[in-house]
Amino acid sequence: MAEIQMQTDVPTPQDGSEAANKDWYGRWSHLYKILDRRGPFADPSFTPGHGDVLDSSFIFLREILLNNCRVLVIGAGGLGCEILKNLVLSGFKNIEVIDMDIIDVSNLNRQFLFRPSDVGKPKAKVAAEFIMKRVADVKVTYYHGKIQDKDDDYYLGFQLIICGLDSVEARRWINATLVNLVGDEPERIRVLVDGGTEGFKGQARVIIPTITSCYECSLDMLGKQKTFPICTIANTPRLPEHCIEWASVIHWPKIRPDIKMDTDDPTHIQWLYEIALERAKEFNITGVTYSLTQGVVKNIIPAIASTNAIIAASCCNEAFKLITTAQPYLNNYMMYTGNEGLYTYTFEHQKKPDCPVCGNERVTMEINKEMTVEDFIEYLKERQEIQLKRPSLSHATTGEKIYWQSPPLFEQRTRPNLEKMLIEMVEQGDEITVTDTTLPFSLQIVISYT
Amino acid sequence: MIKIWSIKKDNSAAEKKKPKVSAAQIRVQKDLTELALPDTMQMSFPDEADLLNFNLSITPDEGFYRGGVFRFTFNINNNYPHDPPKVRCSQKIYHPNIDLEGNVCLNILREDWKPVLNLNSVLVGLQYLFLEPNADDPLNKDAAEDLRTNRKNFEYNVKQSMRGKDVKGINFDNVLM
Amino acid sequence: MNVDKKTQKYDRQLRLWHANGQTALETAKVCLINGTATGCEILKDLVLPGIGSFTVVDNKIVEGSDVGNTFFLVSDSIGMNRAQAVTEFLQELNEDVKGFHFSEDPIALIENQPEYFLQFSIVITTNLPEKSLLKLADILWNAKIPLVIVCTVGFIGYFRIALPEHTIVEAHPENIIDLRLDVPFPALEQYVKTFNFGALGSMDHAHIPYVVILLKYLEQWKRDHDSKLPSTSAERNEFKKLIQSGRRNVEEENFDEALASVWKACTSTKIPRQVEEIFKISSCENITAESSNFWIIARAVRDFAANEGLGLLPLAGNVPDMKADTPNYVAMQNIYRQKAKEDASAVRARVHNILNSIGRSTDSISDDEIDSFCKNASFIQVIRYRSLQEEYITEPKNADIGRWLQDLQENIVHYVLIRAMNRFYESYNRYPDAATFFLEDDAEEVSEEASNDFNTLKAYVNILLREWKITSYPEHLDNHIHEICRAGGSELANIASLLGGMVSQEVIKLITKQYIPMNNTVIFDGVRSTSSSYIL
Repeated sequence: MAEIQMQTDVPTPQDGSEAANKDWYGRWSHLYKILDRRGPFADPSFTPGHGDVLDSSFIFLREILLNNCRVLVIGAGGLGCEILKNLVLSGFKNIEVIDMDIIDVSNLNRQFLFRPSDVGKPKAKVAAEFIMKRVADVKVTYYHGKIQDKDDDYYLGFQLIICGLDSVEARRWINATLVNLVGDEPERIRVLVDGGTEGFKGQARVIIPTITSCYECSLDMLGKQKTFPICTIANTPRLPEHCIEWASVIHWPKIRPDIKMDTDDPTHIQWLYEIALERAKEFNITGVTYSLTQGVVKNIIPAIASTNAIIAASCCNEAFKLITTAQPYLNNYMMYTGNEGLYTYTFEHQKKPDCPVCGNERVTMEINKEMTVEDFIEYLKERQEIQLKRPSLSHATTGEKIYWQSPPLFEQRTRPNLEKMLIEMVEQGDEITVTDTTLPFSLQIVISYT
Repeated sequence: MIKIWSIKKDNSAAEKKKPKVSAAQIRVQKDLTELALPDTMQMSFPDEADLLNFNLSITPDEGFYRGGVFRFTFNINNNYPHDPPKVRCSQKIYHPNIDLEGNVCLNILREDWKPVLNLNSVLVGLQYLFLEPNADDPLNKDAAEDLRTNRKNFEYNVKQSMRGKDVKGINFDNVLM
Repeated sequence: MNVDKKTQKYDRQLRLWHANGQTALETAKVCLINGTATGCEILKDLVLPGIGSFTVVDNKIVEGSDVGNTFFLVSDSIGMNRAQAVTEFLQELNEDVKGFHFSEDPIALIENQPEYFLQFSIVITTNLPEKSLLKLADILWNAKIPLVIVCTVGFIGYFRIALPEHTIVEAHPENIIDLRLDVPFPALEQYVKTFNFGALGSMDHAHIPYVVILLKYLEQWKRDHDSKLPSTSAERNEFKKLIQSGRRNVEEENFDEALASVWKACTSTKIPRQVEEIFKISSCENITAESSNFWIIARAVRDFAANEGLGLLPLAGNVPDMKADTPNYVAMQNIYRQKAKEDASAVRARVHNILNSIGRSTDSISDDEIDSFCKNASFIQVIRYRSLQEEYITEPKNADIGRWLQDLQENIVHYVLIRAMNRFYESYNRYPDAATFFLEDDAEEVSEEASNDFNTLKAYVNILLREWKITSYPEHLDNHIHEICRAGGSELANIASLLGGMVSQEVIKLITKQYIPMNNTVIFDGVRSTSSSYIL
C-alpha cells in the first residue's frame, strides 16, 4: 500500500495526568505490555511507552489513546454494542455513538447492553449510558438520529469512524461522505473501519478514503436480495414466499391504500400473514407461517451474538492498531464464515478504477474568466487527454444543471446557459460534475479562473 | 509516530464547499444525459431539480397500442443503482403485463435487475411491452387470455379500452390524445 | 396469533437453528474453568442465546488488571472471588439462564475430585496448565463430554476441541435438491406421462416444469440409446439440441431451466462417498443398547438403501422453485413429498425393529428425528476428534508441524509458541514477560532479565521441536518469541472477545448438533488478521 505521510499535528496534552489518577492499580496493565514494548512486527516508527516516563514524546501515546482520540461508532445494534465495549476496554475514552433505532425485543439475543425493560427506548442513549455506568472514567456521548443529519465538520471531528450497520444505503452514504471529505487534502482523511454480519458469516475491513478500495468499490460483492417476478406473485404462486409477497405488494395497496405499511407493527404483519395464509390455502401451498411472513416482509437477516462478537472485535483490533501503530493494520479486508468449520480469508480488495465514489477523476482546470459555457464545452472536447464527445455539466455541490445534452427537456432548458459566462454559474474553486458516454462514470473538474 | 490520522482541525478547509450530490444522483445524471430518447417517448419532471422522481409517456407508433399515450411514474431511491427504479403505470389500462393498479411485469424491474443496467434499459423494456405484449406470463390474466385465444378480439378490446370504454365490465382510462 | 416473548427474543437465531436447536441449548449445562476476560466473553455469547445454565469454576481473587480487560467486573469487584463476581454480571444478560459459581481451585479440583466435571454437557477451559489439562481431557474423553481448550495471549488466540465423536444430521447445506432425474420413481414417471407437450397451448407449454421437460426428453433419448443416459459431452450437447427442438420460442424460461440442468440430470444419483464411509464405521454395524440415536437411524437408513431403497438414500422430498403454473408445481411437489414420506416410513419401521431388538421402546426415537435424518441423509457427518493424549504424547503430528512451520503464511508458529509458553509457565509459575526486541540502531539494550526470558522461551521451543523430530530451527520463530515475551501473558479485550465469539459459535454447533464444527484447532493471528485450522 502507498505509504502516506501526514503531518501529525497533535495538541499538547492539557493536564493529562488528571484522568490517570482515577485509574485503579493495574487497570491498563494488559494493554501497557503491548504499548510499552517494541515488537518485531510493529512499524519502526512505533514509539513504546505509555507515559510513565515524564518525557513529552513518551506521554504522547497514552494521552492520544486514552483521552484525546475521538472515535465515532455508527450503529448501536449487534455490532455497535460490542464495539463500544471493546473500545472502552482498549483504552479509548472519548466516543460518540449514532443510531436512529429504538430497542426491539428481538435485539435482546445479542445486543447485550439492553434489558427487557429498555424495549422502546433509543439504542444510542441506552448503550452510551450503560457503558458509562459499567466502565469508569469514559465519556460516551450519543446522537439518536440519522447519520445524514450530520455535516462534514462533524465527521472531521473524529480520528476514526467504526461502522456497524445493517443498511447498504447508510454505508454507501457514510463511505461517500468520507471519500468526498478528503478532496485534495490528505489531512482530511478519516479512516473508516467497517463491519457487517449475516448469520454465521461476516466481514471486517479498513477503508482509508481515496487510498484503499472503498465500500462502493465492493458493492458487486453483495448478495442479491431475493425478489420474485410480479406475474408469478400475481398468477402462478408456488412458494409460501410468493403468497406473502402477494399480500404485501399487491393486496395491501389495493385494500388499504391509505394506510402506510409498517413492518414493525405486529398488527400489520398479522394482517399480511392472514391474507397470505388464505391465498396459500386457495392454491394448496403449504408453509406460510407468521415467522416467515415477518422474515419476508422485513427482509430479516439472521443474527447471533457469536458472529457479532467476532466481527466487532476484529474491527476494534484494527482500530487499536491503526491508532497506536503497535502492530500493522489490516490491508484491507477479512471475510469470515463459520457455518462449515471456521474460515477467514484476508486479502487486499482492489480499488475499482471506475468506482462512482472514489474512482472519480478529479482535475483542476485553469479557465479564462471570459469563457462562456459553450466555449468551455468546446474546450473540453478539444482536450485530448480527457476524450469527451458530448459532455453534460452540472454544479457538483448544488446539482444545478449547467448544460445537458439529453433528455430534450433539459437540453432545451439549459441551452440558454451556453451563452452565459461560466463564472456566472460556477465560482472560483467550485466543482463541476461531467458525464459523458466516453467516461466510465463521471469527471470532477475544479475550476480555477485566471 | 501516527501516520494515518491527525486530529488537526482544519478551519480553512471547513468552509470549502464539498459535493453534496450523492452517487445515486450522479448516476442518474449519467443515465439521463446519455439517454437516446426516441420520438415515441417523453419525460417530464414535476420538480426539475429532483432527478429521482419523474414521469414518462410512451406513444407507440405501431402495434396494438398505436395512438395511445401511456404514462408511467419513476421513483428512484438513494440506493440506485443497487436498487432498481420503481415504475408504475399511472393509468388504468388493458394490457396483459400491466395490472389494473399499474403494476408492471417486466423482469428487469425486479428479479433480473442489476446495477449495470440503466434507465435506458428500462425504457427499452417498457417500449417493448407495447410492441410485443407477452401473453404467456400475464399479470392481467383476462387480457392475456384474449390475446392468446383471439387476437382480433384482443385488438378490439385494446381499442375500446384506449377510448375509455368498458371491457368486460371494467372501465379503462382514455389514453388517446 | 400471539408470538410468545421468548420466540420474539430469540427470533434472529431461531432462523438459524430452529426450535430443536434452541431446546438443545436450553438444556445444556456449560462449565467454564477460570473466569478470565476470554472466558467471560465466551459465556456472554452463550448466555445471550439462552443456554440452560453455566458454572464458573475459579478461586482467584479479582485484581485491578482483571477489571481493566473484563466487561463483567467493576472496580468494586477487586478483592472478591472472581467466579462469583463475573457470574453476577453474566447472569444479568439473560433471565432465562441460571448462573452458578464454584470458588474452588480448578487445578486441585481436577486432581482430587475430577468426577465433579461429569455433570456438565460441555467444559471450557482458559489458562489451565498442561498437566491438569491432560488429566481433565482424559476424564471428559472417557465420559464423551466435549472439552474446549482456549488460550489468548497478546494478539494471538488459540482453541482446540476434544471429543471422541460428534455426529451431525442437520449440517444445513446450501441446497439439498435431489430430483432423481436419472432414476425417476414410478409415481414420477406416471406423472410425466400425463403431459402431451404438443397438445398444450402456448401459456401451458411455457409453464411445463423443467423437471417434466427433462424427464420427457430423457425418456425419448433412452428409447433411442439402449436405455442409457447421455454420458459424454458430445452426447449431452446432442441431448440439449433435442430439448431445444421442442422449444416454441426464446421466451420459454422453463426450457432455459431444463437446459441448465442437463448436466445434473445426466449424473447418476448415488449414495455420497462420505455417507458410504459412515455406513462402514463399526458403530453402524454393531448396534447395541448403548448406541446413540444417530447410529440406530444410520443403520436403518443403510439397511433401507441396501433393500427397498434400491441402492439409494431415502428421498429428501424438496423441490426447488421453478417456472411452472401453480397446479402443476403443487402436484409435482406432492409426488416428491409422497415418495419422501414413504421412504421415511420404511426407515421408521426399520428403526423400530432395531429398537425392539436392543430392548428400547419404539418411542425413544421420535418420528421427527427420523424424518429429519431422512431429509438430510446425504449430508450426515461424523467427526472423530483426536484426543489431547494423542496430540501431546502418543501420536503428535510431527511431520505436519514440521512442514507447516516452513510456510511463513501459516499460523502453526503460534501453536509452537503457546505450547512453549505453557511449558515456561509450568516451570516458573509465570509467563515470559519482558521487552526483548529493539531496533538495531536503538540506544537501549536488552536487560539481562529480558534476555533470560527470551532464551528460556527459546529453549522450550527447541525442546518441543526436538520432541517433534524437527531438526532445523526455522529462523522466523525468533520474531514470534519476541512477540510472546512482549505480550507477557496479557489478554487484550479485543482478542478475548474475538475468541469468545469463535469459541461460543463452535460450542453452539456442538450442543445443537447442527452445522459443522471445526476440527480440531483454530489459531487466530490478530497481527495479520488471519486464521488457520489444523488437525493436531
